[in-house]
Amino acid sequence: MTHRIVDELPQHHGKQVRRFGLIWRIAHLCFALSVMLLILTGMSVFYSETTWAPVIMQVFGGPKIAGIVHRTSAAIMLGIFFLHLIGVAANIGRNWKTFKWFGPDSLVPNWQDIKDIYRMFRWFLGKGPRPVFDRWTYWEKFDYWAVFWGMGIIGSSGMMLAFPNVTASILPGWAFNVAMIVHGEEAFLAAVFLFTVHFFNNHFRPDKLPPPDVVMFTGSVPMEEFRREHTAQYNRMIEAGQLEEHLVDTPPHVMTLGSKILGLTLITIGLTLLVLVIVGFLG
Amino acid sequence: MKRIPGSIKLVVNIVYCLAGLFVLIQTDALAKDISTQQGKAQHLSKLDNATCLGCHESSNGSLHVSGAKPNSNNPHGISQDKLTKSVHSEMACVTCHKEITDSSSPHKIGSGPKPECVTCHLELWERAKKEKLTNEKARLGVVVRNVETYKNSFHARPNVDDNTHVNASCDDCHNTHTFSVPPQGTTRRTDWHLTIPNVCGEKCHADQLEEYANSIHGKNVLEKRNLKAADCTDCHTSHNITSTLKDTFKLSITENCGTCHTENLETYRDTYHGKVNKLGYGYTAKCYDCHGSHGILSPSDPESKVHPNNRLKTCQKCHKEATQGFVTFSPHANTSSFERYPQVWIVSRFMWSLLGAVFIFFWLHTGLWWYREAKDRKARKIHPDRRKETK
Repeated sequence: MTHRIVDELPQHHGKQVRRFGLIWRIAHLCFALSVMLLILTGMSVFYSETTWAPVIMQVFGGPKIAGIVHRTSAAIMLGIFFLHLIGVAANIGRNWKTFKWFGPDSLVPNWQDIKDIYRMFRWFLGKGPRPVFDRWTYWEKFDYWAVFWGMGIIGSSGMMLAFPNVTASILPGWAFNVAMIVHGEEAFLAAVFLFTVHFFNNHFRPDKLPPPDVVMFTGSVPMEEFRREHTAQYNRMIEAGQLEEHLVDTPPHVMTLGSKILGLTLITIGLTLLVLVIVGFLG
Repeated sequence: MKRIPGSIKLVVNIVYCLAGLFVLIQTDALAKDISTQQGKAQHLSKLDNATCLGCHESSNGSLHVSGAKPNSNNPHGISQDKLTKSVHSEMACVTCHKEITDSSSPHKIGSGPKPECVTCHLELWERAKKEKLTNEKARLGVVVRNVETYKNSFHARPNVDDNTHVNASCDDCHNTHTFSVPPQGTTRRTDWHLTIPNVCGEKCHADQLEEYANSIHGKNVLEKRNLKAADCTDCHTSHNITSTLKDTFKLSITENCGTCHTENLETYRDTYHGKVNKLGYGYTAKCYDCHGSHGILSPSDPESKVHPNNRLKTCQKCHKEATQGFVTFSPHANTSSFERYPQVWIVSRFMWSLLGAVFIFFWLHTGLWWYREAKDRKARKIHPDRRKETK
């Protein structure tokens, strides 16, 4: 019944709960833009036999320029990823003694996630109540770790293909054959996953309609939504009396509007890319 | 097969020429007597085919008329036997040779246009269309289409050395007097088809023919009479000849190779080389960049450009700094043969399983979530407080 108490607290009026700091939001935006450019340029080669691919290539001015765009985007993406690693390491380092690796603030998968998946499916099938989540849900953790896997697999195979002379001085030729397959298939997985599952989880499920969810652009969520989506964290904060620490002013109207436009633009681009990939896959 | 050195060929050619000249002088002297006797009579007679063949009939290719210069404008002789079997057999000589107005030798060249094929063939097709006989005379439509294609081809352009002539006109390839494509499936058809490399090579493209003759394609066509092997037109087309430097050619050549080597084209299309080519850019490696063109050899031939011993050098044509690993890259790997490409087979199956597992789990997750959440929302609309009760 704690939520009712908060509803009545006047100091929470005009406040939201902060979820993502500015740096993380910028990183996410750069990630989104670079991955879209990577998908556009990459899939135009992967699905070269489609009618749309040569058109995209012409827009870029040929595969050589598209290749430069692809490599530049990859460099931005890998750069952000490594900066993120440094940031995370520093963060954990600062809180080394108190950091709970399997605690609710950690993105490391834990036993609770397994239980959550089980409960979620029970709810799906109408056999239990809707589970409540702490700071990071298991699908958010999956999104986070998927990037590690993707970076490792697509990044390393991409590097092998980008520097063939180095690759071929160390590895046999079949490494190129394998790198080609791994790079393409994993990119297909990433693209389709992002534009179906990630989009659905964050923008298109019935509770989130109408899209977009702007938390990754404004950085904060309304109290009502926070309480609904991260009930366990909310309860934890109330009990510890820490909610106040996480409150920020409701973003100004222009910020919310801008975030919505940005969100819808990215979603539109993403869905367009999804259509192109599906056309390529079926064609 | 050993190649005949150029110097020996030259000597042989000179001997042939001298012999030919000798025969020519002899026959010329003989013919002079005959023609002076016949000339007066013929002068008055009609310009029908019999009259023409009276002088021009010659099965051995040399002309028995005085004053006629044996150059390319002046056919050496017409074989009546072949002419009657040709598609043009029922035509009068002067229908095409409009500039010939008398039957005396030498002819006074009249003001009529010199023989050319296009005008007549366009008219024939127009007439067929008017008479609604396009199905019965479909072949005439093919000719017209070929003419149109030819007009844009490299052969139809004025020759660089002699711009009064095009690079090649119809009768350079098609012998207009004997032209008859034998029915498909006959040995005559095979014979006709097998002449193609010589038609292209003997008059104009001698170097290419020489190289081709020693290639795996050439040996199959010229020695083993294997029609499946590529001749000139299979790669270059017949009427749509373009400069091999053009991007359009570089793109079409891969398709042309692929009409026979289908599986190799398919696997080529899986590589970056093939994908960029498919996108319409000719700068990545195409079939002939690695395998060679006219002199293409079997990959097992030690002289082949793609033989393992020569491969690195071939790669280095484009990849200047290519290192040893390039040699064992499989530019035609597929995912279906474990025996030939085990690493590719394993990795592709791993990736497919990964993709399958991720999508099955998450799409199922997504679908069920959508269903349950939508249902709950509906219930909440009817009973707004139920949500709180379930907590």
